[in-house]
Amino acid sequence: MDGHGRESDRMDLQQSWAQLLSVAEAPQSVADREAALRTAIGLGAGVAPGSVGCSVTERVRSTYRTVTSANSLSTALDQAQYDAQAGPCVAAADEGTVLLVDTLADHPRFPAYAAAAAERGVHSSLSVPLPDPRRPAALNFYATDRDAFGSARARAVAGLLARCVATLLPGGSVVMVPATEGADLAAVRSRRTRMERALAALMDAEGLSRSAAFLLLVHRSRDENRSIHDVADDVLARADRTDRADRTVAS
Amino acid sequence: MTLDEPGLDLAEGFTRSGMPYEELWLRQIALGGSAGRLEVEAYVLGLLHADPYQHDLLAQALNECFLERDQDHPVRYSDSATAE
Repeated sequence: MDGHGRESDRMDLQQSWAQLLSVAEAPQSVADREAALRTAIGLGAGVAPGSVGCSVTERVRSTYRTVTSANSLSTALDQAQYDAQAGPCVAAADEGTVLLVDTLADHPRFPAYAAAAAERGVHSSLSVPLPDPRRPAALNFYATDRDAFGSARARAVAGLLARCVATLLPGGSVVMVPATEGADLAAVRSRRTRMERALAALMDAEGLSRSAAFLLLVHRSRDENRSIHDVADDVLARADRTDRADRTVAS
Repeated sequence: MTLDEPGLDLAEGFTRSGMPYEELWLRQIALGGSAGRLEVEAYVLGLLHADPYQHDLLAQALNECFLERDQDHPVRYSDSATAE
């Protein structure tokens, strides 16, 4: 593939991620969840080198089913695990833990699945439990490369994709995590308000765009080795003093 | 750090900070940013291209954390921010 083709592919990939993230951030407004899920599964099939498949496993009472999959290979490997009642996708959904299988050949825990995978040239897999679904579920990735999901980045991308997919399943919603619930949101709001006022003051006084005004604060923060919030407070204090002086002159 | 040093990219800075994504998201909200929680994660992982303003918002959010540890802005800014 030439450079232009690679750049075009990269842009297409970014566009698909942008589309998926926008619907995952506001799943209640998604008109076509099936299409969004297909986008997610398509992205999943490219998470790591040698990726050849991606699917969503869901447990319904005592049985399992594939909600959606990238291709027949993924569906067949899922089914091999359902038939054996054992495998990374089944374990990830049931136990809520990430199952990374680096090399499937002769895997002691899942021998039936290992045989089915080896038969199809699949040598590694990753199954990520979906957070807070209606039922136990997992997002599965399959690859022909050995140790395809060994990098921290590949697992991080898989984890992000799993959170997106969780919001798109029927009944799914944005998952609020404890770190957000425990954060001092009042302090965040207060800082944001002061930052917005400081940016507005700089834009007004210096004739700057919002991004240029922010850049000015960044430079001051870096040059003075101080928090940008302290720098913004200085800007606000100066603007208040100027306002008071102007009012005094006017009166 | 000085301008001669290359500095950390967003992913390196995020990893070194040890903060969870939720904290980075809240820090960029406090800076006036509007990226969603999942969007922030995608920018750090390089799945979405951050324009210079968005990049600098996240770089500053990370550097604020390092400033609190007496470390001087180890995460590099966009080209527009480093060009004086």
